[in-house]
Amino acid sequence: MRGGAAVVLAVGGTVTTPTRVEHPGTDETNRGDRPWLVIVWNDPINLMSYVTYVLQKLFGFSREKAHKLMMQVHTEGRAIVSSGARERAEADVARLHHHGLWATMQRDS
Amino acid sequence: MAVRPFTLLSNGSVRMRLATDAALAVRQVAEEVLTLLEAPEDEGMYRLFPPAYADDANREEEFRRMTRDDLIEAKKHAARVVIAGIDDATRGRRRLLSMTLDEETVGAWLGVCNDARLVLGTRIGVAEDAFDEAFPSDHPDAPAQNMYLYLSALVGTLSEELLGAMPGDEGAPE
Repeated sequence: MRGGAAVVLAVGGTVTTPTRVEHPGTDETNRGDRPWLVIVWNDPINLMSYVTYVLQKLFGFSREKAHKLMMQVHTEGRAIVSSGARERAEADVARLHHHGLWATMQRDS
Repeated sequence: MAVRPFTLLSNGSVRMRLATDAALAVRQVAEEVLTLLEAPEDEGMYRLFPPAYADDANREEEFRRMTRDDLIEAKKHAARVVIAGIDDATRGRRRLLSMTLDEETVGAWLGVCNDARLVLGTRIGVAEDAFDEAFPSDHPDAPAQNMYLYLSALVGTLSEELLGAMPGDEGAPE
């Protein structure tokens, strides 16, 4: 993510896209009770203030929680922003996509 | 930006003040977003349409089938809202344009400007850790970079302003 409003453009690199995380135990059986995790990935374009605002708006988080999740995305590369049934997770992913965040979902491992 | 472009009002609307030239540049960007959305499968657009299921092609196809048209239509609607608002406000041809954006329109402005940043930033190769440097003015991507930087300032200042209407640290339940 980029810092403040007075962001200066980065050039000369390639665009980084989120990398997949391999999960052990992808067998379909015995997974029905595990929740789906909605993950927001770091990207080099979305602004930190924008991501914080979107997380507060979409999920009703406190400022502190939204900021903490945003910083986790920024420093660790990703953060889990919600979890639950598959349909609910899909709806959350769709809402995040509507706001331009790079969000995916996967089953809890 | 010499004039503070966005001021949050108590009813959730935002008072926007932009130089007319700047608003017309945003209008042009919104037109371009609208045009690009006619070909959402183009390589340069991939950033607007992330996968939900990175590891499951069947479910990803189903997710796309269920959501993609809505997503494209919402983005087109936002662009049209921005364009119509600017057209209304620029009829008088003043140098400084002042508009009150209701909540839906604020969302449209934020969405269109951010979508344009995602497309432009992808096109000019914005990277997280690269050395920040402006293109020379004769660089073919210099105009795109200038627009990207201007949109970044708009999105950043608008996000900061909108955060003022969100619950603070004592805020909403989790």
